[in-house]
Amino acid sequence: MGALVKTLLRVAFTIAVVFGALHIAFAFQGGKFRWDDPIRRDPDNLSIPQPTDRPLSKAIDLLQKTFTKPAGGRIQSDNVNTLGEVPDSSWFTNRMSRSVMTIDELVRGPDQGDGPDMSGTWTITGAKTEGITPGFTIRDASGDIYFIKFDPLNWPQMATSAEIIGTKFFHAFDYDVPENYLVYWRPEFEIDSEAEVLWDTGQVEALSEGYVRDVLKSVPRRADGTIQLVASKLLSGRPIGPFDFQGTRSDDPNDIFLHQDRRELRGLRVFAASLNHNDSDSVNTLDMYYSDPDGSNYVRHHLIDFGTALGSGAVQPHARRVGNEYYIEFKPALKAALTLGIWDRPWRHLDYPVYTSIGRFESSYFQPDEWKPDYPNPAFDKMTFQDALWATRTVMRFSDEAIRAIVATGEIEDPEAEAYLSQTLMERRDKIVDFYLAEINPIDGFTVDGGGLDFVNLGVDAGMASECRYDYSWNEYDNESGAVMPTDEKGTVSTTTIPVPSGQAPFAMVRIQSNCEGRPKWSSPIDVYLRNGDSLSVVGVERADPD
Amino acid sequence: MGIINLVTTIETEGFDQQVTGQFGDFRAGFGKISPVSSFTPALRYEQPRLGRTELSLQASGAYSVTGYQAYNFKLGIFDEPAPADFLGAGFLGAPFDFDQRSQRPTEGFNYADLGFRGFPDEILYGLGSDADESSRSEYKYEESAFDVVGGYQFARWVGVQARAGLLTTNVSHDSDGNRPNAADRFDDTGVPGIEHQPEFFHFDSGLYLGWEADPNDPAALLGVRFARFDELDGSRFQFSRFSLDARGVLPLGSRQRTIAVRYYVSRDNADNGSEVPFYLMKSLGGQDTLRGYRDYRFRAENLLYLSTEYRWEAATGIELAMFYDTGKAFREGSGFSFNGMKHTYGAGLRAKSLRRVSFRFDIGRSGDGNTLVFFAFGPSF
Repeated sequence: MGALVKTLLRVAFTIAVVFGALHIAFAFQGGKFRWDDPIRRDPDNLSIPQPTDRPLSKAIDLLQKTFTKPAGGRIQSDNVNTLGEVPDSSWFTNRMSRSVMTIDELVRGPDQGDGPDMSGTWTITGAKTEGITPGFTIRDASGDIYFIKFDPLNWPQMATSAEIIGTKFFHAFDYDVPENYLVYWRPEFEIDSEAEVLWDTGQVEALSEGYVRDVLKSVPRRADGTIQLVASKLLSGRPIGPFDFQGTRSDDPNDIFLHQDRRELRGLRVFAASLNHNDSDSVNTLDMYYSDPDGSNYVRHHLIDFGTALGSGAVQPHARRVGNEYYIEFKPALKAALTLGIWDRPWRHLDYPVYTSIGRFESSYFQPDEWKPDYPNPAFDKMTFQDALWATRTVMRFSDEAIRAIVATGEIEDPEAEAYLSQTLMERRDKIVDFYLAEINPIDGFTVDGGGLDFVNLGVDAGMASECRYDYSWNEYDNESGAVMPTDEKGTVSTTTIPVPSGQAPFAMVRIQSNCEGRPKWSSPIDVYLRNGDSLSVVGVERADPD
Repeated sequence: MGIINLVTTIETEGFDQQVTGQFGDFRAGFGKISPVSSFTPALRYEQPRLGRTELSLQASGAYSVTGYQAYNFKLGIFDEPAPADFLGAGFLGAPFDFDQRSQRPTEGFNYADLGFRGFPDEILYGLGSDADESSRSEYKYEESAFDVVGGYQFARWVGVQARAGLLTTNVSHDSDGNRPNAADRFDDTGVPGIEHQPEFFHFDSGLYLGWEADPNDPAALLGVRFARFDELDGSRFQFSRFSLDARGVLPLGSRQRTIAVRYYVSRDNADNGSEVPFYLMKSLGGQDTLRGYRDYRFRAENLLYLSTEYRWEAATGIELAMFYDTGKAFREGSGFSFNGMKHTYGAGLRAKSLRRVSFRFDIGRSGDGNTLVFFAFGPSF
């Protein structure tokens, strides 16, 4: 009976969506720009029946992603609005992408409270052995549920500080992440009478104090006897498994864009590279079936587990391979095999400090375009320079001060290590900016103000060029037919303001090319569309990806 | 741990974790219990901290597709063996295992150890370097032991261990009858012990020292072992054994390329008027030594063995190697020289972690022109 109701609901929902889509299509057919462009919110929070819990095997995911390629070539992302921006959605919330966050906002990150209540003894309600490190589920004195994770014995602070710092960054990169708190815990606990340990074999048995004590024996203690840990607050909703970086979730009607063609998942490559988050695959994601206050039930998509970001490999420092080579990569393997090992991987010979509290993290060899996660990610593979530009714009918004402030949330006790980590992150940021902004015309941030079209040149802001001229040519644009009709309004400016001609056409388009010394790729044209409505506004931006 | 982490944990946990699987208090495994046992499934029951005491209990059983079997029961204070120990030295009760040394805690261990091994088709070519390949014969070997084991791991780089107890042995006709029986081909004069297998009191002790450039990358290891075997009801088989095992790994400008060398020497000194039974002699040949010769090809009271491997990593978890082995087994103590050494060379492909080789394919070719392929669990050395 339940299945029948669920099926009927699903059919009704599908019919509603189809009719709705047809209605909108007929109402606004024929135009590049619709009345609500540029949309700021992707309405993917329509109420849906609860999807099934879908586990994902990392081994299968690894093999599939290693030995198959996603269909289609490098097409542009599907889920961007007419400005090329990613609307807010169940995947992504514009924060740093929209404007520079304050230091306070960056440091607070996703945290809504102050972390677990330490005023009373925690009750351990479960344990898991699955994954790289063991951990416990606890109920604090206020009754809130957290999952707690520790550092490896010989690497105090490494994994937990990386988790905290990674959480702040990825929140600022605009993804949904758990509230992760850094806690110093004096290990006094009770075990819930129904607590169970889930072994990685899938077997469940009663959780014993002996097991808890054994785990706690294998984690580092601070001088005062406390244990540094990460308390990760339970996400809202019901967990339904990780998301895949390709395809869509068949039981989520809101999930209509192929994941490999979502800009925020493609651009994640740039963010993951900046933090050396090699484990940025599906296993470290989590979909939650969420009920919002308005009564809508839908799927929200999260990134989780940043304990392997930066220099941390969770149980030991990252291997030198991390970020430089996939787990399985045939070309270097064959080269090494056939040359009897005489050909050597250059990253083996890097000389950089390994701090106990950081692990292995460097910036001198790092090349943004060469960086690799542990195994191929179809969304990363399909990233275009437009996707990269979008992500790079966010990366460059992290000032030195912002990076230091975020790193400070990891509370790394060794000041030299903390300074090294901040410096390395800054250098990786700078390399990302230098590389990706050099590849594509980096003018952005178009607004109409008074009589001019203002923009910024991200490359000039980054110090990659000092003086530029901008060639422009205005056109009338017919939104119905898509016809572009050149006008006589054209010229060159040496500032980042282009005069807007007076005119009554509903739409206008200006084509802009940058001419900056030593930056030939910046001359790739950008078309900016203006709508002449109640007021003149920018309604569209189209870039050309360099060849 | 399962297949899920097969690749993702190579750099942290290693392939060796995958050779076994844990099911509650039981651990299932797969490997070999003798070079000629063929693949052997095994099961181990573990009960650490018995009744909230420091005592642990462990019972293991393994039975190969060719009828080889081994059973073992341990009770006492000991750390849970690493999974890779499952069918290795820890299972069979050797005094120490080089390849697991860095995982042992720096603390003592004491336990009682009861074991039985039944090997139905063991191989004997005769004794000494001159044993003829055409003399291959087979025998069934069984042994039971009750030992007390104690030891202490002082630090990561130094540990001692000793075991003492009773050893009962039995040699009889092999089970399959495909080859001549050893007892039909040899007599007790030429091959001591083929007709008579007494009970022994035995004592076995070992000291190892290790110098490591990296916790997971041993640079040099030295093991020294002394053992004593005394027949309980007679004096025909009473002897002492001294052995030395030295291994070194030297990176060649990169951890991707290493030269590994091993020097092994073992000498059995029989008391006056006594002999060493053939089934307790060490041998050369097979998957770990003189890899161009078959298992147990050369067996004698004294061994001298040198091996050199050039190893290079092709990819994460994949290592290639070229090796050269040379050695000899000889009966007289005066034979300690490099004259008359047997030689083999070959190449190998290994699946490995940072800690150890999990399994490997080695192809060896002997100076006699024989080419053999070995699939083996664990490192060559």
